[in-house]
Amino acid sequence: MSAYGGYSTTAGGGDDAGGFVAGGWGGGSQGGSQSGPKPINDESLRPVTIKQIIDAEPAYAGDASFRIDGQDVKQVTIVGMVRTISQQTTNITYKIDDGTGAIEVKQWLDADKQDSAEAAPVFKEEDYVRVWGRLKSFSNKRHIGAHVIKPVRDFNEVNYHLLEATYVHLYFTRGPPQAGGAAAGGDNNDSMFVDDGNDSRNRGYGAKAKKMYDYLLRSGNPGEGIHMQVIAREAGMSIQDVMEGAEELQSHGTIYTTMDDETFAILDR
Amino acid sequence: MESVSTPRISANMLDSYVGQNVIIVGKVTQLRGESALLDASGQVNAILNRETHLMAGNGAQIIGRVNPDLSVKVYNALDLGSNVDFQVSQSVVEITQQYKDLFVFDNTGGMN
Repeated sequence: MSAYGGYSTTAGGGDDAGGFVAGGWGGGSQGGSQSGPKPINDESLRPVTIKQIIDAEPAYAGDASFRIDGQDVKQVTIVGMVRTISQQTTNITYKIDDGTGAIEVKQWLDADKQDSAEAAPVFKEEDYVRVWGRLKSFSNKRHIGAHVIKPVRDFNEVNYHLLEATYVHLYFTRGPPQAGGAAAGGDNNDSMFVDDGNDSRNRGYGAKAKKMYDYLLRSGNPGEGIHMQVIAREAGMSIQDVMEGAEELQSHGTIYTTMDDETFAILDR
Repeated sequence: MESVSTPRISANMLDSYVGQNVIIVGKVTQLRGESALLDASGQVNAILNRETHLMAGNGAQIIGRVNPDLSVKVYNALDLGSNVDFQVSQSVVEITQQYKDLFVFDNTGGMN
């Protein structure tokens, strides 16, 4: 939850969602959204709520483009419940409701494949679906021209999407969560980030490995390493335990051997 | 386009939404034919219609109107299976309140 935690003190658990948010957004941020005033990023796929689409301001007069939080938005993804399905000659029009609002989604039919199974939707009314599509405006009525519509198989995706849409909104309105987020992540054990806190590196290790790692850290981690005899004595471990701990830490690349096979140091990043 | 929202709430917020349509996600704790009890950060008494198929112990999403006695008249109920992260659901309830701009039109429950 730390990805979101940077913004909010009320964020309640759910580290799964946090992880997805951080990962899901990673690709988009590399698109260079902050790299200048040029609208090079306006084809980025943006997760939104339907209310955000309805509230979006037209970017230019007479143009079918929109701005959300000051950003041009063309490609969007929404998650919502199918309210109605209406089969037209050239397209299937769905009304999708995500609890924040409702909007029409049109899936254009490929004339060449009209009779194929493709035309038959694999979902029905009152199913949750995820839509990927392009924001459009036709005679002042907004709709989404769908590229893909897929049924939501795991309900958690619905909540995840709403959190992600909020995350992206906050990203654009308040900037990246770096400072606050990393700090929050540091004292929050749910953190999905590999942050500067060393504690994140020994999580998941066995007790012996942890004890050994903690000692190496306390000792100031001298570059020439510390011999296992010393570690055993100072950390109050048996030689056998030190060797087992060392093996585990080495297998993760957390420590390495220095002058001989029995002297260890933490691998500095 | 419909500018009507159905906010996601939890049981402890029911009294602020009397007469409005809401979405509640919770765990089904009891099924009694025409009604069900849901745990959604507190207890919700859901008045079901005949065609709902909920499972005790599973997660469920109900969409309905909050009655004056704080029970919920259900229009739509969805069995969500057993793999529902209720903490994430609760987070969504909280951010719905915190960032209404993204989630809730002012005229909620009104006539559009």
